[in-house]
Amino acid sequence: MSLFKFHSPFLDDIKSKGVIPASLAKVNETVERLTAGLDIQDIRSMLRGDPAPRPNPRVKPHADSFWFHMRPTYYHNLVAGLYPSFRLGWFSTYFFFFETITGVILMFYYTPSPLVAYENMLNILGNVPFGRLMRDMHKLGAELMVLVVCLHMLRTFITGNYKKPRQFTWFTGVVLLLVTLFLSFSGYLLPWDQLSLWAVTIGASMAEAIQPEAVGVVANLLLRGGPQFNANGLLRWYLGHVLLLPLVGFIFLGVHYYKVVIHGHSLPPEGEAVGEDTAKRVPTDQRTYFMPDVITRELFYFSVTTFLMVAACVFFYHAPLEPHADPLVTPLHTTAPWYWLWLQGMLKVGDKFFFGVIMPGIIFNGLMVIPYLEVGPSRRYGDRRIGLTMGFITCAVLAILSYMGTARYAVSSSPDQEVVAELLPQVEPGPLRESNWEELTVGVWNTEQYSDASLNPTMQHLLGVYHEELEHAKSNPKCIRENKCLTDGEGVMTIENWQDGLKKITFRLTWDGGPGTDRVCAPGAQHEFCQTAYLHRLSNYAQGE
Amino acid sequence: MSWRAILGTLSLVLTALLFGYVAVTEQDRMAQFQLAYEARQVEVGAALFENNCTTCHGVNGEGIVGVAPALNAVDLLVSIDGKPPARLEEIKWAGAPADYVRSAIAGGRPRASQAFSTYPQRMPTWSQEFGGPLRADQINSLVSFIMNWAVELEKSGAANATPAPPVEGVGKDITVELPTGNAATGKALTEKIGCVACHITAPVGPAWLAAGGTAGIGARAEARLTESYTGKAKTPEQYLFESIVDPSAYIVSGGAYAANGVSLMPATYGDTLTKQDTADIIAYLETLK
Repeated sequence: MSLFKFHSPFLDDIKSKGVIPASLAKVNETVERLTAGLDIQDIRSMLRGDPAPRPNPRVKPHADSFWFHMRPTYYHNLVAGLYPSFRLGWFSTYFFFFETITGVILMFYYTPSPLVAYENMLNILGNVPFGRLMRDMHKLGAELMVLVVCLHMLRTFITGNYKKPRQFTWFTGVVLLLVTLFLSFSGYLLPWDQLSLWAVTIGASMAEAIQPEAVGVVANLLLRGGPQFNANGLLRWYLGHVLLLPLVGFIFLGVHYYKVVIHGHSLPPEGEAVGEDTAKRVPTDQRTYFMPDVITRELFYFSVTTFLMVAACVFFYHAPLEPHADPLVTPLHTTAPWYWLWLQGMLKVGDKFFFGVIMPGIIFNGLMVIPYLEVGPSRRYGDRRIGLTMGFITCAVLAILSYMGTARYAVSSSPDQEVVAELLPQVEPGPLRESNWEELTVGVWNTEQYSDASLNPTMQHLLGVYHEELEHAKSNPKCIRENKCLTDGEGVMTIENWQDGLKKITFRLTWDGGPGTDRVCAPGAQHEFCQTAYLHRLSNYAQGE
Repeated sequence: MSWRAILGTLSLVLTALLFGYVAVTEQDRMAQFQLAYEARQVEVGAALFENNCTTCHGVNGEGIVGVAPALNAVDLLVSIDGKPPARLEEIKWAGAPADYVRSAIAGGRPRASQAFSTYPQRMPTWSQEFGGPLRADQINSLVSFIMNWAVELEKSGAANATPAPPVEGVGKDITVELPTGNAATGKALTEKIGCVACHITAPVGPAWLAAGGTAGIGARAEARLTESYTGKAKTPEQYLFESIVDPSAYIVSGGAYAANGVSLMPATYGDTLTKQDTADIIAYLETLK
């Protein structure tokens, strides 16, 4: 019966050669298949540093393997190392995949609903082993990715690598920059804490400012899923964060990298003649082959970067988690993430529509068209003085605008609020919450007691800060100009035992003689400001989140 | 190239070791984290309680007679000898005290039938689920804060404390002679016991203070005896005495002060106030013209 005949070449081999030689040959064959062309001998000679034989088996993976077909077979010697590109493009891609992996892990534990999102965060941090590590790495990766992508753009601009024929590569790169910025910004909203809600609300309010009003209203509704952020908005931004933006990013990454490879990585400007693009034609003696030299470098960068990321997150970088989002309470001094501070700074200059919509539109569109405007053939620094100067001026202006975006510039609530906000900030724990609970001594304390040596260090520190802020609020150039100084200001801090392990701390500021009645902290009192905080022994704000 | 291989391999090994370190410390860290966040819940709850609950339940949850029951109470929060707290046992609540507190806050309390209610005002509904202003996490914070009183109550052994000896109440006989009353002490007493909650702050009962064309209670007591009065008092002092210890003897007209002839004011003051207390309160009321 020959309906089914079992035939195995492997068994034939064993018969003819013996078990061990046949097994070794099988392993060798498997390795060659997995690497798409390199058997064990080839790999050994590659790693030993032997010169490549002819024909060169090390280029076979680039022809036969999907993963390696995308990578160049060789680089020019001048661009194979860290300098001059610092491999920032490589690092950008590394972070893209790092974020995808940590992001998918976090997705297992997250539901995009305002009713449970915050609870999910507490679950991840308090109930999922490695949860905090994954979240911290995801956040650190996001911040570093924005930084690396910006540095990559800056480096490409400085070395003039956007010039012909690479104009479209630059364009796709600017799109990728926008994708990165919005990925980071949309991720901000997901924890649904105070920072999430208000930072993204500020951002979306710029959409509302679009003129004509009808367009602005619709844009706002599309972005927020309603007049204010709630369940619809969160779902929308979540889908953007995990589906739309990664998809767009992936597509443009493909186009971007493909173009980089087919044009070849530009040489340093002084490495080739003006107006020539010799990147693709690399003489044999100038080649650094991907296998083994570049791939081993990349594996090295991968190992060291991953180690540094994990070490940073284990030992000192922790993503903060503020209190639950509250649509009725805007925290004082809420700011945008650092890469949007320049935009927040611009908004403080003038009209929301012009500085929040028109100007950023001009800036990003301007970025996209640089290669089509700056068409001089030379990439040499000496020949591009105007362009480079404009670039550096732009960086300086962005830095200044970013400072203007911080809470230190042009934000004024009343001076009494500012004094207390130094001790009890609304966007971070602050000195009071991070102080040693046991050392908070029950009693009524005046700021004048800050120098009392009989007090413990915690009380001295807190009263010291209180005293300093109050002295500043009594007289400084800004309050004099606005006639809002707290003349004859007096500060009192009352600490009471409230419940088991719970202390109640009340700050009371009076100035210009106080409210004039004997009632303390009555609502609507003149020349008086009170703020209360409750602090539990175990709440441990100093732990990092 | 070999230095890269060494450093790269070392990095991988160190990364694996770091993961091992995290694995070992993770259980402790998570337990600490949960404690820290439960503590923060108590803090948030304390602030919410101060803003929303103290007007009826008292600054320290001690309750206000005639307005709202005590929350900082053994009979609500503390299980003794494995039995549920007394108030929960009475209503046959099957779950934990925390769940009872949560349901009361979330759903509120309708006003019970007038014949049986010692709390004439309803408790508002707080949960957004039922149309109130607070989110679920805010209600959970409030529950954490209230349950934190149980810790203190259990610690201070209040559960096992012998009950305070009963006060020698003044009784319901309004002809009993009272000592001289001190108006200032009386005023403090009315605030401490909670009379002001119904008679001054948000008058559920006849307002004590003069307002508009109406005189204060001191003046009204004098005028009362000449109108259609159905009680047993012969003097203004006796009238005030009667209105404290036997509120249903005469129901003042002009407001919803009774149900089926039974006054909404608690009839228990005859048992809880001493003669001196009563005298002090009457002395104070007489000053409110």
